[in-house]
Amino acid sequence: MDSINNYRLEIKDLVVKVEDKLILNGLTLSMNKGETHAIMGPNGSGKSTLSNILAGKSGYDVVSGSINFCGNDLLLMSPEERAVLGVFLSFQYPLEIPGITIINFLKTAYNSLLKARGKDEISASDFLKLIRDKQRILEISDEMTRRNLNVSFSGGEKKRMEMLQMLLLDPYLTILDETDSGLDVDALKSVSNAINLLRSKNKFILVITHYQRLLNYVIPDYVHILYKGKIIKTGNKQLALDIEKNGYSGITEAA
Amino acid sequence: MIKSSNYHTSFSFLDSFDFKLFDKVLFDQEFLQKERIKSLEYFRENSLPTPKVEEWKYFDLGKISKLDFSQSRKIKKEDKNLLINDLPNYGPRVVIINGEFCSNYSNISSLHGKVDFHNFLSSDMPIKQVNLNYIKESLSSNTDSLKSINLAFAKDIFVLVIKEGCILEQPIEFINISKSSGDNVCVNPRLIIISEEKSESTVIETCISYSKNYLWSNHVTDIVLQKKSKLKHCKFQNEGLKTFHTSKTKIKQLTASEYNYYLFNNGSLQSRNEINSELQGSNSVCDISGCYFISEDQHSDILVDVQHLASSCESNQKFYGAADCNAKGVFQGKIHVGEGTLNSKADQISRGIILSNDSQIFAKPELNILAEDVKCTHGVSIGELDEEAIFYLRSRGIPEKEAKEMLIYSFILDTLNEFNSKNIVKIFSELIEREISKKFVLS
Repeated sequence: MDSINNYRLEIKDLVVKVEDKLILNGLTLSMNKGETHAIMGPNGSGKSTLSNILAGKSGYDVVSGSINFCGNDLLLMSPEERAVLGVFLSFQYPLEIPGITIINFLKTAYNSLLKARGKDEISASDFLKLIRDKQRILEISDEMTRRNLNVSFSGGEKKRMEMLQMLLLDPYLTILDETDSGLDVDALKSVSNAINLLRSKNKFILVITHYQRLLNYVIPDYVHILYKGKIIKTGNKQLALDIEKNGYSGITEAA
Repeated sequence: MIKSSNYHTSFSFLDSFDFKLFDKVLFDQEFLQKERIKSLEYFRENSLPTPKVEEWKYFDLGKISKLDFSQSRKIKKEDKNLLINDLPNYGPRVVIINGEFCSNYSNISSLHGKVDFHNFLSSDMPIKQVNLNYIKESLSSNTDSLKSINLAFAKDIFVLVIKEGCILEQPIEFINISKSSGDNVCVNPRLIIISEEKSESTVIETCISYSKNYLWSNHVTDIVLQKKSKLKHCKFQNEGLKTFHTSKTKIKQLTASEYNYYLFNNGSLQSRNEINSELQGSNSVCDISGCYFISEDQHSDILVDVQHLASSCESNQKFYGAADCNAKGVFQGKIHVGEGTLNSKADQISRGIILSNDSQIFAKPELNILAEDVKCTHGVSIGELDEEAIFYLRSRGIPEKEAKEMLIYSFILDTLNEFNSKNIVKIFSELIEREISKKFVLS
């Protein structure tokens, strides 16, 4: 258990196709515990595919490569097994599910994880206390948690709901797929606040984004540029600022 | 000579017609006897329709026609106790076993003065003339094979009258239990509900069966809603997988009446539920909705026929279903808007989820609009569970089977949400949730 692998996310030479189209083309990335990495890239570079692959979505053809998270071969695991391990994807487009209230959904998810980890389910009153603590951080009212999951929510409300799930499930590896898109300044601050709270707990955080503005609030340790399914450049916070100023073209042309 | 569009049958119960069954009842015995014999003769001459008859296109009575069925025998008291003890008890109830009234297990005394309950064989209460007319109309023979069998072989006739102006908070439950231990048995429960002027009530019918051999439960329910009355009528069909369930519910609605029907069709090998409402009085509302869950080799066929025969009426049909394994689900929804009617509004929607490669769902909307001032909509969708939504729930740690169950529940709940009774929504949403996890494989 003390191998270095136990505290790393290692993505090696990942090649992924969708219906014969090459999306990831030998992607390699490694992260240490406690680090926050940002992946930036133009449209169609494979950002969402990477997040879906990490969370275990089906429909992708993994041709070669591996993903090892803390000694576990992620590619062999179902989405729910990955969640039990502590993997969490904040969806770019969270789904609207009528007929399931947020509070019931959150409780079911929380208890599923406890059960899979061999622990007792939480009592209704303890759960309510726990979720209210998290709601306060995101300024989410009880009224909102009684609504149906994401149904008729604004873009910002949906993202805040993703953050509520994140804080509740307290994951080890969080993948934020364009969590900043469609947010106004206040919502952006509230979302960043939630991410930073998690960050302070020594977790793995992977921020996937088009723009650098979220990175003003969640300052990454590393910034990677994804282009045509590969990481073509890695740098620090400054790299994101350069892209904001000059666009991707300078880097992609060099690649 | 039986027509080529009908099946030949040779049911033993046809030879056990009981001429003396209703000899001592208060009701017009002569009329009843004549109608019962006419029904028997009609069935002997016509037997059962084949799928060549349009409205039986998706439901084949062939399997029933090939079997032999007898009349049910008396059930021992100990056996009855066993049948009853496990049942939920929501309050006032009438228990009917193999079409016979079980007074020991029934309890509607709390409704005294608000409700009259008659069973022809033992009731000695007089019935109002106006209600007698409705009952006679219901008990008149006609050209329908299943209704004919029911009238000829019903072991008793039940009449529930909700009295004028009475508003009942608690639902009245009719528990229909069918049981056979030896032969294949045919059971024919017959119920008449009269909702008098300005009354408001809720009736829940529960149908269950226990059998080693085949059982055929063939229900007929006739309902009248008098002026300004409201009736919420729900049915939970949860019979065993060796039971054929055929059911005809006919509703006649007078002026400004409001009828809400909800069906949860879950049991039986083959089930056919027909609900036919005639909006005879203006400003009436008829809402017929429900859902079905089918798995293994089950077949569920639901036929709704709403007839707008008066002006300014509103109707709504909404049926959703989920089919797994080799199951087959059918929804046929008819809307008829009669000539000369004004300001009619009629909506219909049916949706289905296919859970396996071999399951099938059919939908057949039929609109027959003979008036001009009509707002009418209809829609059908049949598909699979949303893979994205399944992934979303699983990514939060919810196991695949549970994620699918949650999505089926959320899909089906849409049929119940608009039902105007918190009590019914609670009872049925719990039943639906329970049956989803029992029923579907979902792996």
